[in-house]
Amino acid sequence: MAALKTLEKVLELDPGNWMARYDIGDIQYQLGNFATAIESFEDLAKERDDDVGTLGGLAQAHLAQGRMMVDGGFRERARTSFISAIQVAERVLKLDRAWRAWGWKVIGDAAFESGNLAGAIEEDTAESSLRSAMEWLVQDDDDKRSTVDGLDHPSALLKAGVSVDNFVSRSAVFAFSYRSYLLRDERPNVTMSASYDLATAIHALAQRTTDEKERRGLTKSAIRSIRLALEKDAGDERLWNALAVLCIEGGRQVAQHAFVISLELYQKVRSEVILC
Amino acid sequence: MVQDPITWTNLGYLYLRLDDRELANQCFLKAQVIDPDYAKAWLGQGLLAERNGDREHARGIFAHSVTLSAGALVSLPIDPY
Repeated sequence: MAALKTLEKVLELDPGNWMARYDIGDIQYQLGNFATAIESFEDLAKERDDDVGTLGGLAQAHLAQGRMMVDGGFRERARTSFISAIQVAERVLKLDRAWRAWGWKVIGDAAFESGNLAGAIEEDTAESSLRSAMEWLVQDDDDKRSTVDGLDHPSALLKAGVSVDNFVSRSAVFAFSYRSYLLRDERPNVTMSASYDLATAIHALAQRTTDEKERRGLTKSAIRSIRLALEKDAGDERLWNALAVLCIEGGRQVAQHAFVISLELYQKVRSEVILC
Repeated sequence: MVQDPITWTNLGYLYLRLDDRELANQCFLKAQVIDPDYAKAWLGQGLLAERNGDREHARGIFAHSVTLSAGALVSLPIDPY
């Protein structure tokens, strides 16, 4: 709060100080006042519509606002926020290639969350925003690195036309897949996180698809992603929990074993934190 | 000692699928003790009550789990996150 007062004082003295205005937006975001953060960033974006930092803050605030709406049970408001996050993140992607991994994470997260909000009528609105994002992905992904086993490439999704089931959830998978490729040479905890996101998105789609063959293919793909993540960090209890969930249908012994490992690791991690 | 309600609940659902009701109940109870507001653990108990033929009890538990989740509870009970 002291920081906010200071920044407001700065603006009194220098109303054109965009850094102070940006910092106000960022602090409001950190405080969880997402609506206020959005207002600040939107205001700034009117004057600096090509500033990736401002647009990045705006996209993150929309995403966070969406999640808060989900928690409150406000599904339509949540979906509106997620769509805004996708649209702004796409603008960032087009402005600066250095933000690609970040941008596809935001789009992936927003699409994933939006896909969890069931409702065919509502999905059309999210789909048209994601269609634009997928077109950009196809353009950027010359070597088709975002291809997913069991799902092909985003260009196939776009060619399939308007009647594709679960377009939003499929888009989430492709966004995370491309991000995973972009981060392939990063530190293990970063690549692990990317693989985990991809696996959970594939799993969510597998749960929604009515095609049994596709479901099996997607589940195998998701398990492969989690196994890749476990190679980077076998001590992460969330990964073992995720592996267990994925194996429930086809490998219940493995699922049980993985759940138990997850529980043991959770106790170990938390105990170590407390003792420190 | 801090524990994880999500994984206990997931394990409970696995035992439910295996129709090992006693172990399922123990897992859901464990999760509820760790986090009394974790809606999916309550949902699991509701499914267990339904399977045991106690529909009235099940209905009450389902209503409680929906309230806890502010209506956001989705069809898939397994929480991979």
